[in-house]
Amino acid sequence: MTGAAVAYGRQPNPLADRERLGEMLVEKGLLRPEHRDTALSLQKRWRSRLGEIVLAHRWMAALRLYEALSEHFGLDFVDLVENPPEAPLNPELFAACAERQVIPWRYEEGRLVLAVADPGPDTFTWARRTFGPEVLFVGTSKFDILWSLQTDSDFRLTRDALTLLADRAPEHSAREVITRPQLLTLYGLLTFLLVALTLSPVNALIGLNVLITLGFLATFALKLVLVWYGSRRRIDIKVTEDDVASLREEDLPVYTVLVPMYREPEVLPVLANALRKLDYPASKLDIKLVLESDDRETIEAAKRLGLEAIFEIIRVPPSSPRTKPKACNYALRFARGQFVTIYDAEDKPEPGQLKRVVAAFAKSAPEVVCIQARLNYYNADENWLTRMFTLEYTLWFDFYLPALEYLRIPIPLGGTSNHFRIQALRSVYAWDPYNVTEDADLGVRLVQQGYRVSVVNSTTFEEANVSIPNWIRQRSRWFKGYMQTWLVHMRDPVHLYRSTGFRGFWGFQFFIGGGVLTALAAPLLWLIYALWLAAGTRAFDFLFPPALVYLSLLNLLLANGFFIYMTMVAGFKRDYFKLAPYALTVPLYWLLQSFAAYKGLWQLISRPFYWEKTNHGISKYVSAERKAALRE
Amino acid sequence: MALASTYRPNARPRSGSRSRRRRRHSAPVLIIVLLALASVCYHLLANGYMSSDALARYAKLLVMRDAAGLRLEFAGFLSTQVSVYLGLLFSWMPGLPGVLVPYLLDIGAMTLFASLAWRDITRDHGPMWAWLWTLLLICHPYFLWVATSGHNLGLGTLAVYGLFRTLRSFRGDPEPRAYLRFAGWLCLLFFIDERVAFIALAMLPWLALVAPRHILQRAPLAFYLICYLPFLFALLGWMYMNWLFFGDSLMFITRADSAFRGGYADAPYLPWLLEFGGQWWKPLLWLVVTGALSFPSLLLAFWSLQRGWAGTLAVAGTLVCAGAMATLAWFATQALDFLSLLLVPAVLGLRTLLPWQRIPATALLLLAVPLGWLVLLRDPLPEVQQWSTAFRAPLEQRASEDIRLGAWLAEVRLPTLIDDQAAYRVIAARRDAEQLILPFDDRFKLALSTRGGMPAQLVVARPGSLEGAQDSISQRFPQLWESGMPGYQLVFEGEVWRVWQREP
Repeated sequence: MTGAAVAYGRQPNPLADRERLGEMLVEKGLLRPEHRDTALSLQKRWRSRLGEIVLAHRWMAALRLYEALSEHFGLDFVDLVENPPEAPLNPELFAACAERQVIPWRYEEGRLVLAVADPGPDTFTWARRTFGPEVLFVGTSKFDILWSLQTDSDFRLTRDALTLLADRAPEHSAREVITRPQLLTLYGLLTFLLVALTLSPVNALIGLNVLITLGFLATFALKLVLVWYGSRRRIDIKVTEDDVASLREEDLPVYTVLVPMYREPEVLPVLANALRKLDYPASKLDIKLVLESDDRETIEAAKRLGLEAIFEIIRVPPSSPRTKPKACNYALRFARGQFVTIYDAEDKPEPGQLKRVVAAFAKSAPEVVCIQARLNYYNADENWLTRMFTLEYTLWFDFYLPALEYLRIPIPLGGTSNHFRIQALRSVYAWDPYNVTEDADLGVRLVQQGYRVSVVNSTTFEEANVSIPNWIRQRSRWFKGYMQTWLVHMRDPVHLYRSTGFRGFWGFQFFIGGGVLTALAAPLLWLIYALWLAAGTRAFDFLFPPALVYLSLLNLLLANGFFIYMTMVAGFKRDYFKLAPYALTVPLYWLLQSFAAYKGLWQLISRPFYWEKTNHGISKYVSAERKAALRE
Repeated sequence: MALASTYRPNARPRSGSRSRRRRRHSAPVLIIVLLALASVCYHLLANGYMSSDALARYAKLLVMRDAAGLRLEFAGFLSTQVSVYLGLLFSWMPGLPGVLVPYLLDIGAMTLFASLAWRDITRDHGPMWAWLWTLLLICHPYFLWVATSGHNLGLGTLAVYGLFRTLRSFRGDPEPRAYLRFAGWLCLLFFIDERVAFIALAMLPWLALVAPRHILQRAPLAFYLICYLPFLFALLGWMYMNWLFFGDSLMFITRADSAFRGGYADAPYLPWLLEFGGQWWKPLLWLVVTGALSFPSLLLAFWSLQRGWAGTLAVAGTLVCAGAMATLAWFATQALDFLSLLLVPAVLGLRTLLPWQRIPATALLLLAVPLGWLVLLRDPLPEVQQWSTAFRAPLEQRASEDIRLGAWLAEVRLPTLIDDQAAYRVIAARRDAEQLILPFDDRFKLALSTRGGMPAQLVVARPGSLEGAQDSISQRFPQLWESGMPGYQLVFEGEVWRVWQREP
């Protein structure tokens, strides 16, 4: 029954036995016997619902299954799009309803009728306990529940996605770019500098030079230490193959995967294919394609693909700022997993990644609530930019991050493949929608809240940027985000120091702050150096008393040489031997970084929350990938 | 499959788990070797042995401490600088006579070498064999020469050991740390020991013996880049600093008196260079034969073909070829300069021995001691001769003019123009460098270029003498020795030195 005219709330059939669902589906000719047998065997292994297994494998149409399920329990089936809920939903029950796939539908003769997509004794018991013993039921589909929940709570969910952190923990939100005390400090410092420049210009400029030089030196020293620790093989091992093998599939929790996308219909088949290959019980995957509701082309592309039931589409209503973290916050309200992770549209996680993370969480201390997987690129050898980007990412994820974890320095999370315990993520109000590197910010915020972030030895392969303008857009956003992150967490330096300790505090200063400082200051220093070299002018000599000359020489020769060398060494951890000679050209890449840093700084002032979108799917490999994915 | 085409299973971080080794404490070795070497050195010094090299470094310490201040360029770029700065660090230790600092550095370095060797051997053969072999190594005349001669060889030997012991971690599938350590040591060696250029060059072909096969086959350029890049950067950096401070980026290899040229300037006085200088095959053959005689245990190491023999061969081959190259380039002052470095493959070779080879190796190490003395004393340089004599008996002391002048200058404390390159013995005898106006000083440059601003006192070496050849004052004003300057009177007269003082 699908018509609303004949749908009434009923008490479920007390004799209905969910154990016999497979048999019933076969009897009705909806499921082939061999599929039933396989599903039953998987059910034993995975300890999942039979229906979820059947849908995850696309063995029958979702609508037919939900109809059959309703009939099995003696319930009328209702299409909530045609007959939307009339009964109000208590906002406090939203999370529970989303998790149990239940929504109040209407009142019949004073009795509340609930629409349920997952009927069963557990759901009925919970419903009666929550809504009263008189409650009645109708059956519906999971997608209808999701749609209705969204329709019902759109405004509130959007508001929460935008303001939850800013309202509850404003000190950690980047909504206010720079606070009044920070502004006063900045004015104070500028005034001091101006006064010093007026009274003693030479000494003031030397002082400034000393600060910049020491900043460079400290950043260099920190990265030297990080590379030294990161170069050890021992540091790579968090989860062994044995650890993964010892996991029992029936014990694996439901895992939510958020995939925020915007105008990327062409990579959708590739992404779906990559996610299907995850070595994780399909029925325990809760994959949410997080799409902007005005992104018709991607939504239509997703519909056309006819994805399995493990894929759900979350349509995020338009609102400003239009950022990825806002979309993720919105989608997080619908997450049903114990763990949640984010993948970008072009990501290809290693198939065993989710299991590896589950094992890593099991091995970690309880305060570890986030585990970052490594990121790398599958199109490293496409052009010079992809080569440099690959070397940089390898250095970052294979050397710096494991060493940061080892030294207990806050880890700025990478944009994707960060895995969270969902409760902890919700407890810190998830991502900051005003921060354009919400991931880096979240990594530091978690540490400030007493949690820990860890890294795991599993890699997600992404598409390296192949175009310089596109790269600049992406990198300028990262720099802007790092500046936001630094400003946010330096609002209360004392708290930051207390919560992260000496190493954490200074590590944060020179890893996040130092990265920005060096990118911004380097062109100035190079310019002075080039002028001095070309013109032989002695105009800058006064800026460099002997001790400073030596420090500057150390930076110029040792630090630059070291960074070039580190870029080269990075490739050796992944056998990227062919990339090694390209490391010699990394200074050109630094120039691009500096350009992006200035663009980021300018945007921080002019458009702080603007999300510079990176275009994906422009690699030459993508069309072949897409064709192959569609064939599969 | 779409994904299969782009997944890179080979691009995973190369990972593996390895349990930590039990670390043995080498503190007793450190203390015992330190005490033993210090006693030997004390005995030699008490018998009147004094190294000219150590004196020169002591003078440089005085200059850096008293006259110049800590200016990088004042130490010059004609020699490596690590020993200078380490020496300065030690010279501030209360109660330690500055003249002993160069010896102390060598002793300290060789003590560390011995304790590292002990620790390494212990890992493979246990502490008993390690004690025995370390003792025999210490008794080897080359070890004693490096540790106690004051010729600034200790730090270099230690660094060479540090460099080559990392080769063990190249086996199989090395982790990035292995390359970092290797390249780091090679780079560091550039700032420690002038022999590095020959070692680095000679190592190029030998490295292929120990390089990981899969990298060498897939990307040989990458392998050599990863091993050599920091060294190349160090070299370029050094050239840059030569250019920055002295306007000539190649000064450190073009100047005949540069330590990077080794014995080039003194070739007419050096028997080794007189016999083999500018040649390749003969010195190579000589070094191979004497090397095998000095460390016969190396031959045993090559025997055990299963356990890292390639590493030992590569190291020994590198050092012997480096010695031959250095002779070809008129750098090596004596065969011992590179033969003494064979201590390194000797230790590495001991690590590779099979259990049945332990006793023969002990016998050969025992044999190496007299053989080493035989090689060492064949046509030795005067300093080697004095050093070996000082083991047995006190050396005949001659009243030195340098000491006399140093004592005189210590009494008559006036601003004095003096070239420390030539007069390092004088400065060492003076025991400080206060009020000395030295070549890096602007006043010195002004005085030499314009004769203006000549200070109260001028120290000049006799033209034609060894000191005169190095004395920039004597070279700039050749008549100064003979006739002085208007308004200056002769106040000190010797065979080699004269001092002119402004008339009151």
